[in-house]
Amino acid sequence: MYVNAVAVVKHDWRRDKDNMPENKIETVIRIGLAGNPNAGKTTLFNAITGSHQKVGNYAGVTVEKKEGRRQYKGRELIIFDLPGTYSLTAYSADEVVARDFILEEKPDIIIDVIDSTNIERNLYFCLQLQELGVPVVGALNIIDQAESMGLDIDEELLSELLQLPLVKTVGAKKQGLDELLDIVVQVADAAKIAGVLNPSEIKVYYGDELEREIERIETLVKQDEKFTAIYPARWMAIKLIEKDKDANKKLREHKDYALIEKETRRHIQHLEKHFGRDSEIIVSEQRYAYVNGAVAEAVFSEERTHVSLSEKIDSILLNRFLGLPIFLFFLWAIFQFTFIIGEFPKDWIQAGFGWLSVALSGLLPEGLLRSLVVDGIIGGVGSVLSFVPLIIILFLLISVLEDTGYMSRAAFIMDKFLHIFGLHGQSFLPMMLGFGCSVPAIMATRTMRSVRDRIMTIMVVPLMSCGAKLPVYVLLAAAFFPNNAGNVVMSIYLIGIALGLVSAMVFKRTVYKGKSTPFVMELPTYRVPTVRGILWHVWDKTCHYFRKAGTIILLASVLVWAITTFPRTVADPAKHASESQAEIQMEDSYAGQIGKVIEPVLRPIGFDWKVGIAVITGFAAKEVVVSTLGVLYKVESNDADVNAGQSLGEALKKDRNFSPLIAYILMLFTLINVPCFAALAAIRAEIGWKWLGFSAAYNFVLAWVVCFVVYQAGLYFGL
Amino acid sequence: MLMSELSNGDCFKVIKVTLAGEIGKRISEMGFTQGTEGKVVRRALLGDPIEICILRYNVSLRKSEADGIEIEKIPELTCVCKRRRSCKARLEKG
Repeated sequence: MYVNAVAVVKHDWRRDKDNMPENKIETVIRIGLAGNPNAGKTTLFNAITGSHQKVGNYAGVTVEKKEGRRQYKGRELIIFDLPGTYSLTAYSADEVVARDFILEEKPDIIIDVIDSTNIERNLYFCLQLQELGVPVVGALNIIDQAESMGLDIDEELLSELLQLPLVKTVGAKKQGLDELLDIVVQVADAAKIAGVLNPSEIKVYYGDELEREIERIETLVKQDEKFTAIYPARWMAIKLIEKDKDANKKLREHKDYALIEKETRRHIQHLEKHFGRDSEIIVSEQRYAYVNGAVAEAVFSEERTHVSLSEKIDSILLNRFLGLPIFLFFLWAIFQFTFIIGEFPKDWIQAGFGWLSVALSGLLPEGLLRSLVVDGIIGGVGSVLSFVPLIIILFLLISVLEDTGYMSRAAFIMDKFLHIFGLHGQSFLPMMLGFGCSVPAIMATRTMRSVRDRIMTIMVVPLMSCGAKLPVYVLLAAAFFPNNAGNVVMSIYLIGIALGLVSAMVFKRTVYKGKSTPFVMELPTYRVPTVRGILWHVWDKTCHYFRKAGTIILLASVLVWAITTFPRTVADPAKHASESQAEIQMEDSYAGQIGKVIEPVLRPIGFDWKVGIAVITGFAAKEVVVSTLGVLYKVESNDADVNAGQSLGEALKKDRNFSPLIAYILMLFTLINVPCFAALAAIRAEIGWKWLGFSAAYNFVLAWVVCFVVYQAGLYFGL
Repeated sequence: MLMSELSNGDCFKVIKVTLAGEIGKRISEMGFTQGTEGKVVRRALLGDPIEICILRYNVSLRKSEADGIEIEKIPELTCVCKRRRSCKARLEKG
């Protein structure tokens, strides 16, 4: 059947460039780079654009927008890297972003990166691109692997059958790039001049039944020329038959909206009766039938007799019984590497900033400026930078696992357990990392495809007790539960995990009620990652952290500095500040005032205003809770940490407002309460202000409720 | 027969996807369309999810998703050998 559609122009995109009228050739060509995940799109993008890239977000969604430039034979190529997707439905943000970009921005041409080892599914996507009314060029990427698998692709024949210019490429080895760009330039020019690749002429043939209905709807859509100037009529007709909600929304701009909608419903009913299945599935099946027809003609494959290397690896890594222990070992190794090796550079950076603040203290006169620079800015920048080694090491390791293809295997192994709680197999790694630090953990959710799963995971991560909370537990447990300190701290960790899983279950039933996302996940062939590719990932993520999280953490640190510094208490600044003055300062500061204002809120869970201040300053970083308590309880914090901890513990024990029960509740509160600024900044960067607000509110309420219950129960039992 | 009823190593031919809405659409887009052949590769520890080889790649489905795919069990995959030379050679051999 597809032969019908081939009777159009043959190889006209190769039209001689010399025959083109000069004035119509524009120097700038805007290219959209699309493709399935795992097709090597990013590698190809980097290979073409080198280091000339700009990263941002698409408006309103958290889908990353990447733009690269390339000078090629006197032309300026601007390449937009579209999100990697399997389709162009309206079900996921990625897909809507990709197709809206093509429909609304109308790039001059699209390069579809095709994984040659998996040609049917990739061409299925390619056909959808063609329907969007922009010329498409296909890059038969990873062709070397396809050939070693015994696939022999006759790209000229395939290209003729599908009316799609095709070029064989290997992104990682930079093979075929010039040929690809040559064709891109030619096709883009040809399309500009003569509309050679007039989209209405290149059609997937959907079979007689479906074609008849498509044509009827298409005729109706064509009645509004203003509308079809933006949305290709045939594309709109097909999408309406696919019951695409977003297309239906777009149709509202059409002058005959009501009529078309009514007619479409009638046609869908007819089709579903005829085929005995959902109309959206009918369209997919016909599209695949078209692809399979072309592939049967132009792709020759040897019978696969030998077991591929990937299958051999999986027979071990995904072994029913070995799979889980191996996965846990990888996790343990990532954890060890990141948080043990990362500690060294982290310490150096902190020591460097310590030295810097001492040096600056010597240079600047004592007073507000010095305090702002040393305590506020350097403290803030220092905390921003001290996370960088962790992020670099972590993403180095994650990128290796991701680029080899192991990450989806890990999700395969963990999915059943996590799905019970409404999470996804891929939630596991971020949750584990959360025990080290929420910031990289939240960023690690980027490997997840579904927005729902990402948000759910990010909401759960802060409940995995991070490393910065540990000093608080250690201080309190050592002072109030000297014989049981280990078990007490352990119980806090376990409560965190339990609350996380229960929260996920609650979100599943409330915030994300009914929206179950399919798990359907590709297990890609294992690949040896390229050093370049991995360094790109790491660079990309580190920059992202700096840009998005860096600014907000800095601002927040200055804010905490300000509320603990102002208003200034009347004290002689010339005198060396004594501990009592520091305490008075703290009590009179805005933080102290806030602590007293919120005391009624904290009373029911057993806290007085002093603990209130500690909790507030804990927003900057959880370990600050300890140093704030140190100031409030007049403990010399300049001592060696251990001594300070011990003496602070003694001081707390003497306070009649403190008891083992209160100490335990303060631990619980530290565990659950609003995440620190760095974590909130990461949440904002990944999923936006709305979820930052939700996370802060949810955690505060949860912390309060849990502590209230425990405190009241404790009082009842006379603890 | 449903996809979820197959054992590891079994081959199948898709009859139809019965799941509605997003899940059904996604599954059909990943290649589970009428007549497509594939093979159940393995299951995770608790029997869920299920890894399936279809078209030229491997994909994992939850059991609930595999319940929504009607299939016909086949003894083995149809020979995909279409490389002209080798096919011809085989034909000549008889």
